Parts: sequence; C-alpha cells; structure tokens
Amino acid sequence: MTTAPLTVSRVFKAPLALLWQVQTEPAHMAKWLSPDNPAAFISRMDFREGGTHFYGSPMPDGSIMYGIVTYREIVPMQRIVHVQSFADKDGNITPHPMAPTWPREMLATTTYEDLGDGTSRLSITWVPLNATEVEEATFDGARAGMQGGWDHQFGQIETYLAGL
Amino acid sequence: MTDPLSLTLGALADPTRRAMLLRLSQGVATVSDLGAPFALSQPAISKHIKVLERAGLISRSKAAQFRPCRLERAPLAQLTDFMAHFAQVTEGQLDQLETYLATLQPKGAPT
Repeated sequence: MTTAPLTVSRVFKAPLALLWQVQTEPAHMAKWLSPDNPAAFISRMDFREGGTHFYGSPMPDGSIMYGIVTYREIVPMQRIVHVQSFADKDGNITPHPMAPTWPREMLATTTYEDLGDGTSRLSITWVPLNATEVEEATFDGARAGMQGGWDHQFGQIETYLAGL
Repeated sequence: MTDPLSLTLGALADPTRRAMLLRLSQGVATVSDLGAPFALSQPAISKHIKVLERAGLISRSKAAQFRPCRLERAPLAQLTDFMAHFAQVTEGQLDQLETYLATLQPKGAPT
C-alpha cells in the first residue's frame, strides 16, 4: 500500500517572525493550545535538531493529551521536520486513545512562508513513519475523510438515520 | 485489525466501498445493484461487500431471496466522533493559533 500524505494549510494575519515565535516557544504554545487554562499546559522542550518536546495539552473533557515530538530538522522561519507520537504521562509512546491502530509515529513537515503585508502561511504535512500495513490503512481511511469530505457526507447519513 | 474503529477506517480507505455506502444511504440494495456502477468482476464486488460487512457498516438480510444490504449506523457514529476529535487536534489548533495571534497584534494596525 502506498500512503499519500495528509496536508493542512492556513494563512494567518501575522508576520512570519511572530508566527514562528508563537509556534516554537512553550510560553506562547500554552496560550493557544490551552487557551482556557494555559497554566495546565505541560511542556519540556529542547528545541534543537535531535532534541525533543514532551507536552501535555488539556482537553475539553478534563483529560490531558500527552505527546512527544522529536526534531529532525529546524530551519528558522522556514521549516521544521519532526516525528510526532502520542504518549502517556511518563513520556512512553502509546497508541492513539481512540484508534489503537493509528500510526504510532508520524513524520510531520511544517513549512512557513512570508506572504508579505503582515501575512504568512503555515502548512503541515503528515505521513506515517515506520508504519505497519494496518496503521497505513487506518491513516488512509482518516485522510480520505479529512480531504475527501466523507466525514461530512457520513455525518449527514448519520443524522438522517438518527431521524428514522 | 480487530478494533471496530480500525475496521471502519480500513473499510473506508477504498473509494469503491465509499461509493457503495453512499448508494446504501439512499436505501437497501442487492449486491448486484451495488456492483452495477463498477467495471469489476463478481468476486471483486463480493470481496468489497465482505469487507463492509466485517466492519459492521452493512448488514444482509438472511430471509429475502437476494439478501439485500442495509447500511448500519453504529460504526459511523463512532467514526464521526473520531473525526471530530481529529479535526479538533488539527484544524481546531489552527483556529486557536489564529485567535491567539490576533490578540498579540494591535487592532487596526496597518497590515
């Protein structure tokens, strides 16, 4: 099975330097990743190539979603390549809490682009890393949903069926 | 691949199977109805149906002669929960980032 990447992209009304800063400094990350309770955001960051970031992000249900990032490449204000995994509170890599066959490791490439006039574009591309065939199939199913729009279509089906 | 969500995602990774499910959202259909739009062999069609059935996305009547297929709701409900979660940790984070960036910059500043 060949696995296509999943990409999301967004243009922000912010200069590139500011976007880079709030994406890479834990004090800022706490404020946008955990806007309701920044103090609850957990972060141990070693921001350098080969370094790691262990984080815990509070979820709306009160639980904390832990993850580990390992930085492979950092080009300031241009590009970050990192490996992303879910983790437990002790920093051990774990399966996705809702989907056990979700790829344990994902390779994420983030690119930053200055669009001028105080705007910048952020693009993130994910591909499964060292994935089993089952993990790749799980990722493919979700990617088809994110980018093919079937979550919307099936959401409609679900709503329709619920009314029968 | 034994947990229900992974079975659902695996079944949905294929465009032919997604098309079959969308057809079934309009009502029950026989296997030959479902296979009609595709230039596929009968065994290939049967294989797709089996994958959907194993994932619990469809059920087949045992009584009727042509054993019509019916869409099943439960796996889709679990899937939409997962997709909502997935969207929350991707698009949702970008929304939060956007909101935060706006608070850092004075309103009406020249852009």
